[in-house]
Amino acid sequence: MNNLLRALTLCMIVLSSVAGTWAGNLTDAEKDRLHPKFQMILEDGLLRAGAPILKGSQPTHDAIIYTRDAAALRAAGIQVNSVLETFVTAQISTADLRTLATLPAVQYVDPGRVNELCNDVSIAETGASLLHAGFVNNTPYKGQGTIVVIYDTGIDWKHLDFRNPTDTTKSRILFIWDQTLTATGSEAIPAGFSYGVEYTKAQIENEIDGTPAGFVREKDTDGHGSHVAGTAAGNGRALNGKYTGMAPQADIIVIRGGETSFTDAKMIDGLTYVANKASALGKPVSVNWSIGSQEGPHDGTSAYEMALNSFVSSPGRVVVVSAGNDGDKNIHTGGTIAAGATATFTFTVPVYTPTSGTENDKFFFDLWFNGDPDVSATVTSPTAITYTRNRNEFGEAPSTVDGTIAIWNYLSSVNTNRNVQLFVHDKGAQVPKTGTWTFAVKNNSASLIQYDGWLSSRTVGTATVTLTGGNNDKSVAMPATASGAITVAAYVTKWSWPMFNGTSRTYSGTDRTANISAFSSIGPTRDGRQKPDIAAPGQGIASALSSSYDTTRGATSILPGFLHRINQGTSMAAPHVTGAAALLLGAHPNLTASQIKALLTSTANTDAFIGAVPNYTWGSGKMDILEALAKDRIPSATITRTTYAYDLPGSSVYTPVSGPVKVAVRFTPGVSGRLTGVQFNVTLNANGITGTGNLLCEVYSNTGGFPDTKIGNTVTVPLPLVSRATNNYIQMLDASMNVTSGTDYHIVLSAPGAGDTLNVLLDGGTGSANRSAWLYGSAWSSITPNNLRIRAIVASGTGFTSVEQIPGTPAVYRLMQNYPNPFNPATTVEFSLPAQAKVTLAVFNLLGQEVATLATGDYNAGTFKVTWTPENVASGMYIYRLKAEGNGQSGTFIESKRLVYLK
Amino acid sequence: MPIKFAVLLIAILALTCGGPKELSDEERAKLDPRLIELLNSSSVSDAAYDVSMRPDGQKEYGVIIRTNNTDALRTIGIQVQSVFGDVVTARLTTDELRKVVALQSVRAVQNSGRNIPH
Repeated sequence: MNNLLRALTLCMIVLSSVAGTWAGNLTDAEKDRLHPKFQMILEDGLLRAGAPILKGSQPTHDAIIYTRDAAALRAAGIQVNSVLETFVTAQISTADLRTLATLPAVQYVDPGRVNELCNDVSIAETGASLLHAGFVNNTPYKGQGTIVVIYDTGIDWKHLDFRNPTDTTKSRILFIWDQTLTATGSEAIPAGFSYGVEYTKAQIENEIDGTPAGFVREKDTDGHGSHVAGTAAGNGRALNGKYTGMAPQADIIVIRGGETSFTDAKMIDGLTYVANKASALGKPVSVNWSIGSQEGPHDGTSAYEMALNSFVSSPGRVVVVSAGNDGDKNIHTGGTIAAGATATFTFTVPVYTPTSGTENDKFFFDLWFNGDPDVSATVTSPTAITYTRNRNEFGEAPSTVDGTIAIWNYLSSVNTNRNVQLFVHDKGAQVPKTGTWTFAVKNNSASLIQYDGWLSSRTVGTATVTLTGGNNDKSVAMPATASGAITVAAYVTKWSWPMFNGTSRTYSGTDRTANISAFSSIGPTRDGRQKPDIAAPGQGIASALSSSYDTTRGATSILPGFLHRINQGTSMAAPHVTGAAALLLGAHPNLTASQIKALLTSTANTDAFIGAVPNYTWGSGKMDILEALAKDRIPSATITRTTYAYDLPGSSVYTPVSGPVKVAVRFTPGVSGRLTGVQFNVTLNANGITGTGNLLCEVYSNTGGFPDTKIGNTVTVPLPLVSRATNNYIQMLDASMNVTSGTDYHIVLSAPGAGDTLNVLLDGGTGSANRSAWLYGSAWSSITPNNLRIRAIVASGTGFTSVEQIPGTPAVYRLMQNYPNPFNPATTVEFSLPAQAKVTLAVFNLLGQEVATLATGDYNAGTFKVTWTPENVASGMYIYRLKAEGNGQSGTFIESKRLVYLK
Repeated sequence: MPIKFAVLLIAILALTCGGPKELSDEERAKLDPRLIELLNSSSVSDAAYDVSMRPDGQKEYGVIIRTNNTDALRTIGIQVQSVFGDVVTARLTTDELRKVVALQSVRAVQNSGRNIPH
């Protein structure tokens, strides 16, 4: 205990000495000119402030400087960017901060609130961006301590989204196993295997810095794997965090299994490789398989599905699989055949130009029976060539004039179900004949038999073979039918996007935003189990563009900056869940795959598109990792995010926002909670955004239907991070806005910098409840008849540990003793402010190192409480300190107390 | 007489050349059709298989073996790549495939299916 007290005393001395250093340099009046973040930069250096660390250059900070004398700033050597009536913008160094604090012309220096702008709204949609920001438990969950594994077409290991964000000479990729390469020279085959080449993190980093160059031969020429990896684990480093993925601090392992096709055996070997690495590194793993096949029993008995089940039987391992993209292809048929009867299946081969070479113009029909009935199968080609195979017979038809025709009629030794396959292909010189093919299957048994069939391969030239009367049932592919897999359907989060060349693109047809992707495969499995398990964003997804990708074949998908692109498919949905699982495993490494599935499915969101759940289109609904992780940490937690949308479908004219012009949308939350985000759309036209200043997003109170007084903090976003032609998302946690049910508020957007313009989209409707307004001149007026497409997102619930206001009007500053104390697993701290103040409430260990920030930002007068559930913190004594800086007479309050965490 | 002699000669040659033993019914039942075709036909296309070339020039095929006895595989010289329960992966020459399918402990041998990106 004596040692503890000595350490505590030392800690207090350290803290006091920091404050002393500060006081010795600036007066209180000067100090008051700086936002607490800037004060911390001067006090404590860069780390606590989270300032950018630029290798080899001076760190700078965006700042809004409130002054009416820009000339005085320039005279003091400050490089001013934009000049407005009451403030200027600038990028300032740490030395500039001291200069500004001492200038009488400066009223206040504010950093603005540059948040993580999740332009790919999909990450925000899942709730992951709030987890990254520490919304739950005041702890940022970013997948730290986990490994995301991508089995796919490879990865662009040079891409900045996969590097250490603060030292880009370092890679986040631990290993790449390229199964397609043959080792040469000093290249190594992974231990325990007989093929492929393994590259280590050190080798990748050597390649990045060019010593030696040309050693790592792995390339993602298809680009699919890089895109998938970016969604699951990209950190957005390539473009200022604009395209951050789900688990941006997870380690990454990549297995390149092929370019256009992947074999079951190598996928199984990939699992063995991952199991070896996970054991050696002692880390949990979340594996992504965005690949699959329609050839097979669809009942979970295939070898790679059994291997998957075995792999996930150990804690800390999960495999996420895309459901497939056959939800609108009508490739399935099913039914019964009476004793002695015949079922006839009809296929149409269209007119086509054959692809050069063999085995690439083909169709394959895979028919599975429950049990082992006696059946015979006869195919008839368009020119009336017939070929019959009876029970346990298989082979190729003698005639090949209509293509090579094979029938296999055999008993699967794995699941003891009869399997009849028809394969028509261009094995020889002849290609599948254009016209109508029939396949008659006779039930020779004495009882009714049940079947399911899939047209699992159907490409001839660039055309598609069709199955007459086909449907979309049971179109979930393998291995997504594995019971141990988390199987993911896709829905739409973006319908249009800007292109790299200044134009824009949109999907054809009616906008399906928020609805299921038409292609998303549908359950159940052949044996009637629920699949898919859950839905995630999978259409209009922005993620990493491989530098080896042939951009001429997908130019319309390339986003501005030429570092990311748009892609669609359940392939894109699965990595959202893979990354989400990594977030869960980062918080709770011993979770099992079934526990993760239960957390995700039990917290999934439903809406009018989804209907009753679970169902065979959506599974349990739209994934909500925010609530899933909160529930894992605090079982009683519930978090509901509500988007307040008053705009109607369609779009019309736009409203330019620039200079003093502001626009606003009034929202009336139906729940009390925290304003967590704002969505808005910018127009398609090329000049939808001009300038390089900031977009300001603010919240105002309401009077008479118009904005009255600004409340909460201003959130700023650099205009270059805003996207034209699509919906944008701004995280609003730093606005520190708790809203009350039934009260009107306004979301106000402005772009006041010189030369800055933002063209905000108006809807295509003429709704009677108009809630949009604009400030032109000195007064607000209604925008009619359309509404602006600006939406507020409010999170409400219980049990999660954001700062909550509790009733009361305190007269003095107070920091209350935490309760319970000692504690495990959580404790609550309350504090009171007699007036508006800038607050920092943090927990320090006895060495004076900060271990958690419980509250930071501007708070109105009132009493607040925050719950702390330590993560990765040793048991023992800690100090929590409240620093509250009020304006003018209320002064600054600092108080510390002790708490004891028991494990 | 010359015809009978020729037939006899061909039969003797076939036996003395030691050609591949015909699969038994039990062995055929363990194999999926593509692997039977691989063993029975000299004109199979590689497109349906996961093929690679060994340093000695022999082709090897990626297969999945269903067995609970990996020791039996290793005893006959098979390099096992992965084991998950009764699912075992290996890369086999056609000669090795014949040896594997002849093992009592092997329940099934499957050609490695193909998957595509979604």
